[in-house]
Amino acid sequence: MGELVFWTCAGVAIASALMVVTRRNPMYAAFYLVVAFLALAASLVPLDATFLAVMHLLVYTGAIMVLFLFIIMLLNLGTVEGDHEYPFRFRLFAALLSAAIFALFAYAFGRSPLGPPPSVPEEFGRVEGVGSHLFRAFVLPFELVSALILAAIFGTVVLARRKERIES
Amino acid sequence: VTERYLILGAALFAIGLYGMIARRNLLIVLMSLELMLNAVNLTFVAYARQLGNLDGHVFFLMVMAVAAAEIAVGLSIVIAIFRLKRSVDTAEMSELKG
Repeated sequence: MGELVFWTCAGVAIASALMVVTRRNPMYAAFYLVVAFLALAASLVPLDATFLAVMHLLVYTGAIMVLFLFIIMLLNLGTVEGDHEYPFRFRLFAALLSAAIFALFAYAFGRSPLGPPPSVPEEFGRVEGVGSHLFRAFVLPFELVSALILAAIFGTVVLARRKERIES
Repeated sequence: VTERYLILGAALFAIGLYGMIARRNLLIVLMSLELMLNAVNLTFVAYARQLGNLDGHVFFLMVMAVAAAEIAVGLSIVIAIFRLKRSVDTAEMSELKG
């Protein structure tokens, strides 16, 4: 069962990720990214990370991608982009560079086999396990995240505000 | 068995890297960035399972919070740039070039 889930998710995720980076229209790219995120969230389940899978769905597919789609529609960029691409030679260079990075990672991961994963307690990866670990060992980072999000809210409001006086 | 999750993470990271380098649309560059962050998150979760340690799961949540904040700020920067230049082409943003 885990095998089937993994190979399906891996195929869908890689195919749609490739579509994301090759589409002209950012609207299509955003929809393919939604598919990639769905596959990634599903691939977390065989790793006993059910809570994270649900959180991934909520935050990425539910919030971040909706924000992306709103912005693309708001700016009406669907048809703006025409032939504004880097020359083919540069893109080929970038593809070779990425392939080299991938080969490096794959070599490093394949060199030292990890063996079968250990058996874990029942609450591993569920709300109970992750929550108690978060609030016991990582309280300070958790609190600091609230400061970060507050700063992000201020930054967003300031940056996106229309400055009539300066523009005119 | 964990290695194949690591390989999947590496593949998605490489695809995201290609998108960041080779694309000129600022929105697609941001999407590639999200893809790379997700690839690293998958690696965190795979190692957490392999080591039987929940630290990786907490890191996943932290990265997710930072990614959400980063995307909110990044998209408002995109809006500001679009208002200024009527374009989201990264090659046209060359004001800081000496």
